[in-house]
Amino acid sequence: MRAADFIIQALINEGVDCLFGYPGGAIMPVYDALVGAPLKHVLCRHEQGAALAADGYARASGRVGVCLATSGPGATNLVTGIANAYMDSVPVVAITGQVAKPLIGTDAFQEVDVFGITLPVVKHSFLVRKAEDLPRVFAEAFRIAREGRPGPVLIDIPKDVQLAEFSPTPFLTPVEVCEPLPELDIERARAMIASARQPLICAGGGVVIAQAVAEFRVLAEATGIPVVSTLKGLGCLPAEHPQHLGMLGMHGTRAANYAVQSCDLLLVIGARFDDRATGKLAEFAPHARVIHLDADRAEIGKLRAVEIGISAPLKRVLPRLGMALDIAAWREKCAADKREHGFRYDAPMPGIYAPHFLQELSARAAKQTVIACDVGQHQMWVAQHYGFDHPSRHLTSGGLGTMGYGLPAAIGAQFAEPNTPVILVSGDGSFMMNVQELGTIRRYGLPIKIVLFDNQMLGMVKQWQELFFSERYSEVDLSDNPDFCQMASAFEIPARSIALRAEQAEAIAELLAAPGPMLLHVRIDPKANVWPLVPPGANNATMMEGVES
Amino acid sequence: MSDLLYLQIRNDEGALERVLRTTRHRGFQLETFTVTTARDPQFFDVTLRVSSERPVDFLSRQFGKLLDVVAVSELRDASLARSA
Repeated sequence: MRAADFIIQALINEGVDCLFGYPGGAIMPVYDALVGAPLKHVLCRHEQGAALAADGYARASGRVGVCLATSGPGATNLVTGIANAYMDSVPVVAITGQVAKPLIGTDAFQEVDVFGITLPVVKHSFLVRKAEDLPRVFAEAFRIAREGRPGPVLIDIPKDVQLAEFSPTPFLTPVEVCEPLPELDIERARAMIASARQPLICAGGGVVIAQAVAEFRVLAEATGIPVVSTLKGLGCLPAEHPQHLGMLGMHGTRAANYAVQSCDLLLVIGARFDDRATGKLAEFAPHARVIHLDADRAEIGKLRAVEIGISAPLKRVLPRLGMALDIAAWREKCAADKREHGFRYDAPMPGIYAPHFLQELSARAAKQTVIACDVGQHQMWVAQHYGFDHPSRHLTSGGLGTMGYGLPAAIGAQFAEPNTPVILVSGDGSFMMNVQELGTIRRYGLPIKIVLFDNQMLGMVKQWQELFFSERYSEVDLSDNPDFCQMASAFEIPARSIALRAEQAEAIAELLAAPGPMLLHVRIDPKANVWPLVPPGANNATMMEGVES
Repeated sequence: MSDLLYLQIRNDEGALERVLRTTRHRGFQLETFTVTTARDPQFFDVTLRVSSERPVDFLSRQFGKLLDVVAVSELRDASLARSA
């Protein structure tokens, strides 16, 4: 059979129902094989959009996301999306066409060494030089992408390989081994938990990646240990759960950061001590002994010395750690901090206060709604003020911090869950980074709702220049933004603009009730900042606080 | 302070590049790098001497994540160190 036809069949065999891509010269045989295939191809308007849509699809569905592009610029445009998946451990398979084998290394038209370019941002990669290798490569790529700590895998396929005729032959596949749990470490961890007076759980994105949210909740409730979350761990406990203290770190809650700084045992589950979460690492959780559970053995002890590190499937380990604890006084202290330092939404201004808007959106949107966001101030406001019920409902670029992530991620999520409401919360800076994907919304009639906060600024950069660079503002002014409502209209997306708090409730209602896509342009105060803020280099107890006027 | 590492790696596309870039990216200076074909031509034996302010364990764990790397050992034997 023709190799290109085999590639499509291999995708179907792997359970792929939808892939995101953009055609071009060196991938034409695969696109030819797509004609009439029982596989949904989503034509994005830029390869970066395709890669980020595959990421959003994977996060929302828990399945492998697939993107497809041609050689040269098509391949290089995928790189940011691949890196985004790498940093957040998202299972993505990226397939690129390559110039024909005799042309590799000759600087041929649209030739680029994408295998070499992506080495630092893939879990693994393949350059397929023989069609006979395709069956093994595709099976390995999907297995690698999803097993253990997931991540992106690149398959680069020269055009002559795609056109080759071959007879697929069986190949050996590794047998899944169920390794025994580290019983001694588990017993030691149980003893350490039992003896702690002020234990704290830190939940990370690894919990949802391991599909262990249910086991996590059972453990948290059995022990009664207070919980803080990383950005990607939000929703491991529902936001309103009494044990949940909120997000820790740079824009974390006071209750969460105070708990981390005073706990005597920190049970870190599926998190990796990212600098945005820890603040000054040497002063992070200074009184705590640490138990670290992570699928990736290399993460254990990488940044923070731990007493016990367990690298084993969370679904099997977490049920082993449950026990009743007598920590009422500590729980009450954490709860009191949460009450005392809760967010306030009564800023006395006629304009729209983004945190209040998001709190109201959260209260009124359906529970299963997927929220995709971009990167910047609005991203942190979403993390702080939208109450997530499950981490798979929150699509955010945590590790790479990719502006332009939100719109394609929302598209990917909507294809993963066609009947689930998907809302994109974006900012005027990020939105313009992949705005061409409005064309994808239009093409497929996706009912995605867009909340676009517009402060006519690169707000987060402006905030840092204000606070840490003596208010010397450098290239953050976006007062020449286009008319976003007109832009939406050009893509046949209904739009509305609001600027007053008095308009907020009715506009949210209109947005949520819209049968198709809608863009709600929300003007906000350019002076609004994200609080609290742990300044760079400080420990997490050093939180700056501002006052909104 | 330098450390000696031995790797057995599959002779796969890009395997040596992955080892070298991981060494650089993770903050290790490469002092020596020796590659020999193992008895089985599907594999390479690689010996590296590296130095860094970071503990060598930090690097060997990252090597352990590379799918081309079959085995990683930190060599502590003085005679092996001298011959590398």
